[in-house]
Amino acid sequence: MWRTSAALLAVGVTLTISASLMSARRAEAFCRTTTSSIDPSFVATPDHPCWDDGMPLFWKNACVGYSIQQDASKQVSFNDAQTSMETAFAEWTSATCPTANDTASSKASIDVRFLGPVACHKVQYNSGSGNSNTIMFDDGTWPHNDSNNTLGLTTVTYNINTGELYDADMELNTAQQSLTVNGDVPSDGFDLLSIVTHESGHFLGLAHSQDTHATMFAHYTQGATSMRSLSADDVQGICSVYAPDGTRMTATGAVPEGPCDPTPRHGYSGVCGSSGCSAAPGPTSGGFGVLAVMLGLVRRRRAGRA
Amino acid sequence: MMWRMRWRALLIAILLIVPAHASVSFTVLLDALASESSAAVVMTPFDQKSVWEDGRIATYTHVRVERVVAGTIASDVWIKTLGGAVGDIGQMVEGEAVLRAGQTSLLFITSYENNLVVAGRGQGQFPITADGAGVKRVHKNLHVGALLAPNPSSLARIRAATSHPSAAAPAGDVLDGRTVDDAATEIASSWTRTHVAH
Repeated sequence: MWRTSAALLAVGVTLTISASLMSARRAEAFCRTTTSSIDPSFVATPDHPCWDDGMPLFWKNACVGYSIQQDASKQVSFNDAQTSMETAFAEWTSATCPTANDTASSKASIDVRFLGPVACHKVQYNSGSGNSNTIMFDDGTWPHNDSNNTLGLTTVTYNINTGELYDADMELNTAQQSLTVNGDVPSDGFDLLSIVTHESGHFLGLAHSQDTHATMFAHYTQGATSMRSLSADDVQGICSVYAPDGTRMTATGAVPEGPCDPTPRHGYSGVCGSSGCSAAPGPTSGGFGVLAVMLGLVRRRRAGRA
Repeated sequence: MMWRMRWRALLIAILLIVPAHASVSFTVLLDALASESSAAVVMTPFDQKSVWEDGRIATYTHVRVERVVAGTIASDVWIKTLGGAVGDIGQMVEGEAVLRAGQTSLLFITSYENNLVVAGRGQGQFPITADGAGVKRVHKNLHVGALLAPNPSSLARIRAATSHPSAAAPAGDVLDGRTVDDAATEIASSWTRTHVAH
């Protein structure tokens, strides 16, 4: 991934700050995803455990919206998908951050809101029209060359100069693999909620953690459900990006959050570029349903911040 | 007390170092990787361009093939990976191979939708670096996303086909730290099992 010279200059100026931010938290194990793909020859060391080249990613607004592909999967019904995603995101957004001041809000300053179903079934970012951050299932054909190997994949789109996230889409491979949605997870099974809680961490800008107990740890053990619940390290990670005071920690320092507007960049749309996918009519949660969910979340957020 | 805590923290940090990036994938086995590849090569990228394709950014990297380890391929080819940057917008697809100009890797390559791509995504890329004695060695790519144990069905299929000890072992573990020549011999052996026999 090549940077523009302006971006290179910005990196040069900000790496020192970034490094000091990183070194100031060496006791923690979490890492943040940055605008620069990790060099495959990079070897982590105790002094340099995270790849910190580039700008760390973050959502600027206080609220982020997401949608679910309307027909979900043969394995995972739409309602189960919605429940799983709401549970997964809530695990992150309800994190209680350690604060020095008891009177301050201790909640991570990010909310993730369900905006309804979309018919569009593509990973896509439209730079000139509406978007949706879509959770999608691939029952028929996994649209990548490694169909036998990958279970889940999150693609993020961002500004390379600032690290601000513009879009995130999550694909789940239900074509080749079986996921456990409800009930006990067999010892050789894959727990949907664990996987989407982990992927939700990536959605929010976190990379893998070195903490073996963390949801963001890089290895998932079949049959396990422990990734459903955040570890203290995960909480530190989310709180470091989305501080309770409403700032976002960037490579250039803390910047104020944007408004609580979950509308995706350039407006909400299920349209898949020029191919003509359209937003679903909104069966279980049409316009009124979305409105109700959003109002409920606004109330919850206000209560949490009071 | 403070020193003890620092040493403990250091020890924990050393023990817990893991790759930092992710999708969720099965660990790829050597024979599975070989069987889904059309060539294995030592290559060095020298040019790259990223473009928008239907709302996604794809990067095409022009690589010079320095050694064909197995299979057949031209001396310089374009390899497609997902993600990249166009203007101010970047896109990252976790677990993809990362090809950087001037950085030599051993790559397993396959064809997908009329393009050459890296088989097994990041798991099909093995960066090559020189050790302290100047010997070039192949390394496991540590940044391939979250990994699961090998796919049970893949494991069973390979074990049914061969009892060779490397066949059903993770490709990264088999090749990690070996010299390029040694790795090439191992891959050639796997190639014979997975391509010639079928």
